[in-house]
Amino acid sequence: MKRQMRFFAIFAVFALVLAACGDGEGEATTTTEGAEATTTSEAMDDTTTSEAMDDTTTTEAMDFEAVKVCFVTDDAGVDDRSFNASGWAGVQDAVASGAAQPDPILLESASAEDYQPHVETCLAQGAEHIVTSGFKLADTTAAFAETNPDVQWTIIDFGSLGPNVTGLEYQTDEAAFAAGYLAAGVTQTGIVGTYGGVNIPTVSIFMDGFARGVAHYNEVNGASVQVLGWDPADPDAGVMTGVFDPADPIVTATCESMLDEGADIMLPVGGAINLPCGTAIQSRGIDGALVGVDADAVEAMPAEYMDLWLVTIEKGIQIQTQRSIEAHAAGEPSGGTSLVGNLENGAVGLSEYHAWEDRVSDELAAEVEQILEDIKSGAITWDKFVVGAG
Amino acid sequence: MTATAELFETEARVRATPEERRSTIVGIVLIALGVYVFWAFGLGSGAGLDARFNLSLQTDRFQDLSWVVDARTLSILVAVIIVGLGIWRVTRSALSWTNISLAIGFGLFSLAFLAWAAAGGQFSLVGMLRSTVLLSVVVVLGALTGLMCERVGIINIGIEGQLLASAFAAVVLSSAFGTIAGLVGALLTGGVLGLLLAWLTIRFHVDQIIAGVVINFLALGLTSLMTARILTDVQTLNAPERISAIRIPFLADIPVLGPMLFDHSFFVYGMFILLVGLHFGLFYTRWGLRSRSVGEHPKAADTAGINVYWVRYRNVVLGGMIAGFGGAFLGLSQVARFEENMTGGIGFIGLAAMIFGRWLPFGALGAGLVFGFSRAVQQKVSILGIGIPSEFLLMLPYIVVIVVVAGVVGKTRPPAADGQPYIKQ
Repeated sequence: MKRQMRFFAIFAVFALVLAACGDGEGEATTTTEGAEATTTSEAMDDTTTSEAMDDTTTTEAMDFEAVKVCFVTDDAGVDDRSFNASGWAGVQDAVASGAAQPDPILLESASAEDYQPHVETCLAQGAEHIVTSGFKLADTTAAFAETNPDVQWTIIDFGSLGPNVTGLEYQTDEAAFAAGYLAAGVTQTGIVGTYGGVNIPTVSIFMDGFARGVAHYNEVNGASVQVLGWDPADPDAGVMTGVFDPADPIVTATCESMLDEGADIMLPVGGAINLPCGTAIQSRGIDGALVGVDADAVEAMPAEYMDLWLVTIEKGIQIQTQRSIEAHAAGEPSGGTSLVGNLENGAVGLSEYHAWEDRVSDELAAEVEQILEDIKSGAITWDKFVVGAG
Repeated sequence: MTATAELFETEARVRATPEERRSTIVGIVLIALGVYVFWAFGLGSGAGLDARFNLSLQTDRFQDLSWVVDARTLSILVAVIIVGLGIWRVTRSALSWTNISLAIGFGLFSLAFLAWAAAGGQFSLVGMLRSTVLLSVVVVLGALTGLMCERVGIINIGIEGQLLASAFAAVVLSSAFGTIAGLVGALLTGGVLGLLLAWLTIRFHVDQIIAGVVINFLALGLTSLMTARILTDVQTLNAPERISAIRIPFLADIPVLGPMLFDHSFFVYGMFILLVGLHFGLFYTRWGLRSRSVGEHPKAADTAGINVYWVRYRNVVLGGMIAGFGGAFLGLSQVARFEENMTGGIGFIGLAAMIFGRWLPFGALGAGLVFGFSRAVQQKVSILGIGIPSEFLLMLPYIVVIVVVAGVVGKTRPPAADGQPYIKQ
């Protein structure tokens, strides 16, 4: 009996260790990072998610005094094809522009226990600028930034956490507004839909902008396109799946349910929860489309959905990371503020029209273009999501 | 009638049986529910507002079917029926109708609620019913797994792990060698984990709860590790061909019932076949009698010449294979890809469904449908946009499960030898 118990104990320990390892090495797909959680394990061909954005920074021969950069990922690791990958690409861009010293340090976290030791390693290696990737590192960043006031910090997707911390945030509703206008312009049923993973600001900001864009279309064109899933007047009641796991049947059901109500253009926000929606559109034989979020969907998503993408609402983590490092290298660190990506500075934008390009009339394309300009200039404005308050 | 008999009769009247008391309580609940429906949905719906329930999907043969009803009239009618049912319950007649009355009451309540929510608008009723079926498949299969094991006296907490591991096997093998390989692999994986559970609990008398928990951790750990180490690098292994729906000719064209039941992947049909098969098997065959006797009184079964260990091994492995079937549905039928911890606790809901279903196959179906229905309603209501916070709606299905398991089901009786290791003398 004793022997048996021992056998069993070893077995249990084995299982627990495996569980721990597996969790740590896991990807961002089941985390609650909302819009940032992009799938990592689907068929993709290229290696980095480079944002297809116009590089509006002036990188030509500024007076940079190259700083030593250290980059700490969250537990999704650098190959997440999402914000970690984009942030790291931004660091490399900073190296290329001479703002960061060559050979920046990359520390990949396997689990939350790694955050603190990794940041300590950065400090021990004499890093002058530490980039922490994702809101999961917020507590660690805040604590160490306070005790290390001479070091500059950048935190991705979070507000500033102190006088020496630069926050990177995104006014994605500006681009989503234009996407909503576009969707309202191409819908054939007069109904568009949106749903999110969990009702957190990085998710709902997309839905809010989108719904307002549709409303703007109605106002301008005297149309009555309906939005399912989000009402700017009642943000608590937005449609959420409650999960970021695309395999959960509730995700398919949520999308199908909107299709049942007649929606044909869908904006699902949160990692890969748009894939089941693509499948649903295909299996219902609906002539519909999806709006992508974060990184260009054509590059980031599996091939079988290629003919479904209308446009992607993009979020330029790469460019913002580069800018933050460059500001430091130029002697004017942006610590204490949030660099808010928006249409104006090019860190938020609409991608090229994807497969639905020929369905977008020239007039509509011109109107969307005009709206993007009007939002930049402030001619169109609304009660936007508050970001960058920190 | 003699005086003694009369005395007994009075005695019986004074001391109500538990069934009678339950009937009264259910009656009071129903009356309260009816009053609530009258107040909230009847008076709460604006006068003359029609709710349009759409009864056809885009893929249906018969298009544009719908049922238009005045929300207020419907709600008041429903309220009257529910109160009537309640009064009937309070009189304590026809005691076997207690649960049925309750079910009818809550069904009508849902209808009035939906009419109220859709008043002045429309929504796809058939879409919601279809979602209900789809959302209940894994729960039902999980419950059947548990039922197979518990009927022979082995508690299976590891359903979650079995589902997860077999979903992984289905996705990887299907990506590499085709759909058939994926399906076979999933069944085998479920079966092997069943065998492990049986081996640990029968051969080593490991506590059954702990053995199940170990299986869950093992499956979570192994699949997470392999996802991170293998699937991230070799992404072609996470791209199986999706198993699509098979429309059953003619039947799928029936309005409402067609899209609800006859336009699914074969997993859904398989679930219904399994249900009927298991029900018949358990209660009308020698296999079923032996299984149940082992679960109720293994010693007596042993004395009668039944090989208790063999029966237990066999059923637990078969149960594991049912979970394997469920895992394959998760991995191949929805998005056709594996995600870390993609089961997300559905196996435990399956376990609850088994208990709610009183260890009966069709009970498990009913329980699964209740869960699926509450999820479908939750999700439909959030789309209708009547301003209920999404966090609350997401909680709803679980509240329903808790209420149902704790309150409605009442006392249930598991197989007598459930969880008891059998040690042959």
